[in-house]
Amino acid sequence: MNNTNKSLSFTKNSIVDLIIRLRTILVLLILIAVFGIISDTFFTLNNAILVMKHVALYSFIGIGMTFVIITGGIDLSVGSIAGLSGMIAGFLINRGIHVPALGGTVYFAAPIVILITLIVGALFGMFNALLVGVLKMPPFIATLGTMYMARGFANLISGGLTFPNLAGTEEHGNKGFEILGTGKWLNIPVQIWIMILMICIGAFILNKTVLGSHIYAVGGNLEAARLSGIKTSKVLFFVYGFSGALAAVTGMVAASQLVASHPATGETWETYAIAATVLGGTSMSGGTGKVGGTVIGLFVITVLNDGMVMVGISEFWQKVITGIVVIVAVIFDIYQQKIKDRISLNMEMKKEH
Amino acid sequence: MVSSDYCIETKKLTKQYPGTKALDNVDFHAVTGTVNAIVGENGAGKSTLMKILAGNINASAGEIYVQGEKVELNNVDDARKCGICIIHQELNLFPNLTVSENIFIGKPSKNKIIVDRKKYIEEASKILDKLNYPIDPTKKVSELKVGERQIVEIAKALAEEDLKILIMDEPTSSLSNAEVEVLLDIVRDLKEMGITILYISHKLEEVLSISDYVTVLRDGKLVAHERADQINLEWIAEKMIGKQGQKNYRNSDKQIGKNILEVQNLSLFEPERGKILEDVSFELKECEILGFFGLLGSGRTEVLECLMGLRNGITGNIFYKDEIIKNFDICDQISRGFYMVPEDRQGQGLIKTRSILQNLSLSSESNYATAGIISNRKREQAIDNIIEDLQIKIGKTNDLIISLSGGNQQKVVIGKGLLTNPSVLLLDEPTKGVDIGAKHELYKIISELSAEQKLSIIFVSSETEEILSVSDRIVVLAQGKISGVYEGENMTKENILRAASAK
Repeated sequence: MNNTNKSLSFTKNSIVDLIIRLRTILVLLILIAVFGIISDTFFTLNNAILVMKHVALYSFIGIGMTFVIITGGIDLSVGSIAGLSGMIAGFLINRGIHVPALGGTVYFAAPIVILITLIVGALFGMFNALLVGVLKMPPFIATLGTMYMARGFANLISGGLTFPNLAGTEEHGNKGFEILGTGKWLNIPVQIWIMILMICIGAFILNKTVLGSHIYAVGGNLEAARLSGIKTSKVLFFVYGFSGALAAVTGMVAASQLVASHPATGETWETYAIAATVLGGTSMSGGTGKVGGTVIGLFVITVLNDGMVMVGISEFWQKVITGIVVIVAVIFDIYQQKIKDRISLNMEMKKEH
Repeated sequence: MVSSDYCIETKKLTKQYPGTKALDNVDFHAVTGTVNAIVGENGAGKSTLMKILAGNINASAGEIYVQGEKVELNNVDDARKCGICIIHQELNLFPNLTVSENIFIGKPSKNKIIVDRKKYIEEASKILDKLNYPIDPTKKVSELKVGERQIVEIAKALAEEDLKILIMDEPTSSLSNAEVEVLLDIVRDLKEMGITILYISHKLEEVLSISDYVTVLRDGKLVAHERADQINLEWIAEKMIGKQGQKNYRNSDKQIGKNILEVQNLSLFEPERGKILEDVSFELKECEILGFFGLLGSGRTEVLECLMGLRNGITGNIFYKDEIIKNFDICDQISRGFYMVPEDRQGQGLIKTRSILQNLSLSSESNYATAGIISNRKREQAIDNIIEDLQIKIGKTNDLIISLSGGNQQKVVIGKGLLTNPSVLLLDEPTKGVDIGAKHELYKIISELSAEQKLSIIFVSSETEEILSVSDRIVVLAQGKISGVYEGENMTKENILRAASAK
């Protein structure tokens, strides 16, 4: 009698536990179902690819943000770094670098342009790490500062103007940049492939490497990590540098899509990344989180936004609704921890009786 | 049946925390107008019980009765309405406000918007007069001595309209002897007024002199309740520690080798705190367990931190295996063979968001990895071995670390260190906050580590019993200096206690 009771309550608890764990996916499925019923064009291949392309664009900063938030920090500068990166790529392709010693202007091939831009993004991120890890600034303030700086540089590069026609020219030997955002491989856009690659890299680092384990440790308990012999500032240099480089990927994909770069690109994109990370179950207090969760979170936000466009909800209401979803998710996050604690305590009390 | 003679009574009060029971079916009661002392070792559950009665935390199960009536104490306000007030060990006063403002802050007043300072001062002096101790109600709290601040706390409680029960959590711990006398007089006055006092203290003599009843808690259980005039110090001590008493864990067969670590004239200076350590010199031998005894703030932890490279501003020489070492940080020290198990297990030892496996392997991860990629097979093998060696009781290695009891959590922290293959292990209060059974297991493990795995161990503790039962030699620190080193027959409670209080 007693035994059956126990096993019954146990299964009930594990169902609750499962629902809690899969909550974001459930929300996503519900959203897809609702929009599918309301709109005729929602369930089409073209729309699916469109949604995926939108997700891919933000997934890079989302993955970087997940890393940063797992360490207990935040990176407000990713939107600006994305903007800056587009401008750097645009500058290198359109204007090249003037080197008087070589008697003219040097243009780089597209892969070199991409590499340089990635490095600049990573260096900007590492500057964040310097402020946060070495100078012990609160991440919010440090990255707020670099957010302004990067946006300023983005405008300074062109004097606030747009770099048009990033396709490059035969004569300069720098064609091919537009493939990032407009190319296809096996009929699927290149940016989706890059997203898949980045998800794999991100998840691999977090789950399989020493570095990943240290990233969680730094966010879970900085002091314990330090006393365990982890070089905590090195970990932060990697994490913020990675976030910066991924922001550069987002910036280049965005520029490549339009085959032009504009200095205002990426404004407020950091908020998407943060919202997706939180929706994906990463705790703002650090120490937990998964790349996959963030990508699902991004799908929720994107399906919601794209779906609302398709069914004709005004842009203003879209913002209100997105905000509500994020707030509800966080409230749920706070309470699910309490529910979990209660379940485990109950089980412990029962075990003893 | 509930007797209304009891001002407060609890029935089967239980507080469950993840992994431990802080209170276990406690039936406590206190007679109206008496002083009731609650004693017990650290972690026995005294503070938990008091915090539940004061509404600071909620019980997991059980009932509370005030004057025979069942009550729900969900928050501080509920407790206040029942006439229960608590004075915490760390006082909760606003140093920037005056005595009278402190007394009346948070109290409902008729005029809710405008503060009537004059009336506050008048009423504050009335209350302070009742306590027979002159304090100027217009003085700022920051100008008062600690003892006087305590009195302000009492006055604050008395300003409650219907104070029935006053809980005092170690009120004398930071007072001078003269101040203690004043406070005890005030406690007697409060008793005259018919207020029931619940009094937590570690000072057993003081407990016997002031209280009418003594309640002893051990490992979350109420183990004894007796009239104070029926008992003596030995009785309390025996009840607190339990029958297990002192046992010797020293291994006299092991061969203590030559010096592995020599510290000469270690001094630590910090601009804001001044001299923290002064000319500390000692040596640690192979296979030796060196006890470090001293009161809080005597510099024990700081010595360990200096050895781990966690402190700036140190002078003196440190020799490891006959070679001088300097300019090291904690990573250097860990790879050299040092490992420190910190005092604050929750705050400095564990990553609470991670699993048992992830916590255990944290310091030694690169040993299981090729090119930074962890081999799960290698890691699990090492983890399984250490879990068996230390007899850590776990469900699955993937369970969260917080699902373990305090003692097993501590074994995980020690295991994390052992996986780095250290030769010098620094343990800072390793048995703090673990139950008595786990303590004895830890003593056994520590003794075996030194004898069988040839580890040299520094064992910091503020409990005389345990340090005497585990150490091969004891160094006593007082105010940043070594005040005694004891070995063999000289290792007695009297000797180390005397040395610890040396000026």
